[in-house]
Amino acid sequence: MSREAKVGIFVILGLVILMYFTFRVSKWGGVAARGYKLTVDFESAAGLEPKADVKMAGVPVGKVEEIRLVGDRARLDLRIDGKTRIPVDSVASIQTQGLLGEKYVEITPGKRSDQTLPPGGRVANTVPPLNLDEMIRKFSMMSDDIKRFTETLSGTLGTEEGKQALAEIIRNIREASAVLRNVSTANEDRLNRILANVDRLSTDLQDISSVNKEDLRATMANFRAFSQTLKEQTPGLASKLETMGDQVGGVVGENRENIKESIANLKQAFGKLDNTLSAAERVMAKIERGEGTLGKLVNDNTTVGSLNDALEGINRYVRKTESLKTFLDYRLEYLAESSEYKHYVNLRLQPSPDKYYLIGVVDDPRGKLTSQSVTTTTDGVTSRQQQDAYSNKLKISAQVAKRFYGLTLRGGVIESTGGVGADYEVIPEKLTVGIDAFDFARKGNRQPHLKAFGNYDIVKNLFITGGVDDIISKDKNLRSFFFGLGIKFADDDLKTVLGAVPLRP
Amino acid sequence: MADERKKNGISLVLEHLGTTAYRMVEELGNVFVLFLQCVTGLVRPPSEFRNIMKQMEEVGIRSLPVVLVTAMFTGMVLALQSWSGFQRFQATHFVGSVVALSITRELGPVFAGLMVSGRVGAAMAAELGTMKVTEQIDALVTLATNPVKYLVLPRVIAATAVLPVLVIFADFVGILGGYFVAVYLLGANPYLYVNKTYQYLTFTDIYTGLIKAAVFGFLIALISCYNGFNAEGGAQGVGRATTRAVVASSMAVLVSDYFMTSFMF
Repeated sequence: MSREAKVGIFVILGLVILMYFTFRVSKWGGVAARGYKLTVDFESAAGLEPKADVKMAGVPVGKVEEIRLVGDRARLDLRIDGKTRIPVDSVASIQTQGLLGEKYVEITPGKRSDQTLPPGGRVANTVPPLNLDEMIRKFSMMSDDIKRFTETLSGTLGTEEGKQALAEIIRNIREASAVLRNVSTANEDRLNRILANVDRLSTDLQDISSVNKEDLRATMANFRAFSQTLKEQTPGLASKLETMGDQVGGVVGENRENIKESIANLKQAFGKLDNTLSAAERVMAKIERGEGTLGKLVNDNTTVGSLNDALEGINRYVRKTESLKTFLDYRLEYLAESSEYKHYVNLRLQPSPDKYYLIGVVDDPRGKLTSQSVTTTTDGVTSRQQQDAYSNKLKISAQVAKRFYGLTLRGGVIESTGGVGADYEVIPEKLTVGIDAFDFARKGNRQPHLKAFGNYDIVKNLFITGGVDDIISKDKNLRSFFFGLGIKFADDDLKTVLGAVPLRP
Repeated sequence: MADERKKNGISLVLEHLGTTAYRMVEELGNVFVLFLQCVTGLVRPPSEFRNIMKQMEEVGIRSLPVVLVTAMFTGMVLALQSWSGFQRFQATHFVGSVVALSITRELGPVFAGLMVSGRVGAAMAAELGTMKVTEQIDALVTLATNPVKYLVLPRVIAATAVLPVLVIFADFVGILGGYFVAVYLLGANPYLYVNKTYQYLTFTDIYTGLIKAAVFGFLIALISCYNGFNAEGGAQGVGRATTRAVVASSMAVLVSDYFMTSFMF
């Protein structure tokens, strides 16, 4: 082999390896430029690197090609293998391999496998990456709920009313017991005496009975004696009992109101306590049985799942409404020919970047045409003259618009008549030129209304407009230059404005 | 000599320093002059195609085994070392990235450069030095042959062109060596390792390494030829020239490496 050939082989081999490296480290990595591109927006792409995997059901189906900031969201360009089809309602999320591993994009396939995303399409549904802060926030929300529940319970038992009732019960019981003690101490002597008398009586009776055993007569005599004694003693005893009764009665009588009140209060307080407890018991029983939201929440595992689903649903709904953009604009046009002003108010609902609906109201100074034939006779010559008069009229516009790159085609109702229009964005988000054609069946055999205009955004919310109105009209005073200016509010501005309005007291 | 005795120690040291600096600047100037001569030789006929091919074979193909073995073991030891480091914080899957980045950006070009300066630089200096002391170069001049164009230029061109190719081989083999050690010895996941190797590697990493390699080749050839051309005094002088050539070109590789890296970082 010649020296040159050896060197040639050496260099070619080197270049082959270099090409191999170049291919492997190039932007598309293993997937190369094959496959197709999808985009997806996330609130945060933190931790995600270009060339990270895209997985569907855990199987790598592509790579993240590019990550960039669009507005305030992260837009990812995904390169998907050619043969992988992704249903339109699939959900994309940023996942982590393991707890602290690297991030990748997981696509959870949707149900509508008959409709798949086309190349260049966007995965509309995303799950925001779960972060610790959010988890902590959710937990604190849950603990707030629990706190509120316990607060309700303690509110039933621990209100001022409840506290007062309890305090009253205790006070009344104390008073009552004090009264009872007073009564018993004051009548101690008398009670002792009564007891002594009773004691003596019983001794006598015992004596009588023992004597009775010996002699019936003696018994009889004793009985007589007893009865005699009884006869002698009875009046004293009775009077003693009477006085004691009087005294007790007096004591009770003196404190009757107090006692009565005590008892009533006690009854009331116990009633309240009873109610409270039974109510609490009912609540607890309900929770125990799994009735009610709280009970379900506590007892049923599936409720947690469905709650999660519900939250997710709300999230998705919120996101969908977020993706629906709303623009409101007001425009004032000065028609040079007739020195009149034309006002426009338009509401633009934009569900996706390439489509919007436009609903508007136009205050047209030349909206209404009244034609009048005037017959004048001057010097015997009768001349008929057509006199046209225009008057103010409110008109409505309702259009559907579809966007193809810079070109937007519109159609629908323009100024209360059928019409079509087209806009072209010359400088993105700055200069737009367009043309509207409408009012094809115009009164008085006139030409259709053709309007060419250009809009230039001076700043985000303020734009100037100018152009020619009614270009192909044969009536000179209808064809007119116009210029004007307008303000427009995008979603965020509206949100800010509406957010400032207090919705809740 | 009589004057020197009168001088005190300080001025001796200063004089020594001054002489050294003066010589350094002079040598740098001489090397630059040699470079300019090469440039002028480049545009003048005849072309030294066969000569360049010969040198390419010498610098490239003959150096290939040395460079490949060096690169292979560099990659292997790098995998081993970074594995033991990354294992401490459970990041062993990044070993592939580290090996690939280190080899392509730094170690491939530098080790290839050092190997070539040791192998080829020494050979060049010895060859030209021998020619110089045996007055073959003077003979060339009498034959109306420009010695710089005939001897130096092919070597410089060959080294500049071939070293990047050597480095491509070194990169490949180094990454391969790291892969073998990580997968078969340390039990890394082969798929994950390859994936990680290429995930963080960019084309910039590779071509900055290749640019460095070209500069190294240029410097090695130029410095070695210069030292060979300036050999004096028989076999001993040739040996001295060879040593100086290897030391100077290795230093040039490492010093220029830092500045190029900081410039292209």
